[in-house]
Amino acid sequence: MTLKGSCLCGAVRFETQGTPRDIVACHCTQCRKSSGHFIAATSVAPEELTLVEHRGLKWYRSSSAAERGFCQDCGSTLLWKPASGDRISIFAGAIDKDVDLPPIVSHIFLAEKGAYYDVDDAAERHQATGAKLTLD
Amino acid sequence: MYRCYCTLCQKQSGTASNAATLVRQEAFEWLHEAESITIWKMDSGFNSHFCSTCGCPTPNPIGDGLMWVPMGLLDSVDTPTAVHLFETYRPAWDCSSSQDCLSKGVENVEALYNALANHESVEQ
Ligand SMILES: [Zn+2]
Ligand SMILES: [Zn+2]
Ligand SMILES: [Zn+2]
Repeated sequence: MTLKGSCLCGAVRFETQGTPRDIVACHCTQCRKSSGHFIAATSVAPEELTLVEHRGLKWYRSSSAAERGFCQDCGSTLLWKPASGDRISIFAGAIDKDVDLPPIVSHIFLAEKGAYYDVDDAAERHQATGAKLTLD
Repeated sequence: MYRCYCTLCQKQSGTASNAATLVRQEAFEWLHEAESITIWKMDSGFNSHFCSTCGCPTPNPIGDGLMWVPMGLLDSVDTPTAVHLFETYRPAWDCSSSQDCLSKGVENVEALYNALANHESVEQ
């Protein structure tokens, strides 16, 4: 399945090859601040992500463990990569709507979620990272 | 607070919707001067204000004397979702909250503020 996506202004555009991981929602404090709400992300292996346009892409080292990618021109919240470098997360809001991705399978870091919303769907719920499905 | 599911807000937030609230400007105060905010504007009036260093969305003026504040920046505020905007654009993968909101649309920013302030039901 090929996914395509972009930021609001077009200064970052990407395509993926391979099978994207199921969508995981992360409610950690970092994701809440960078999103303004919480994050939902799929992921691929780094070599399966092609940056068709990357002139706007800026990486911010949010912790020793990871960097967050956003568009420095329009502020769109786009990518997350762990220092280990084995996967790269793609935020679902950036992905073009011509592909219907399956529903969120897991919620992680619910211990840090905002008080203003409830998580009441059928997906797995984890207070921290999931056993198998981290935001990797 | 309200959520907007339009595709602009999806890209800005990276998820299915934004989540934000509005406060009167006189009720808002910067505790640390915002010195590195990038502003991106569309002709339609949609705009994105964000920290140039880390990309987080930042509060910004909207409408007549209001401030837009992203919920994700706030520390443990418990307020219901009063308004959903552009819910027809809600992506199929988002099933994360089925909680009912009180109204489904508003005519303008002032009406949105009133809906959030009063939790009134307004017609789309
Ligand atoms: Zn951009
Ligand atoms: Zn997170
Ligand atoms: Zn919107």
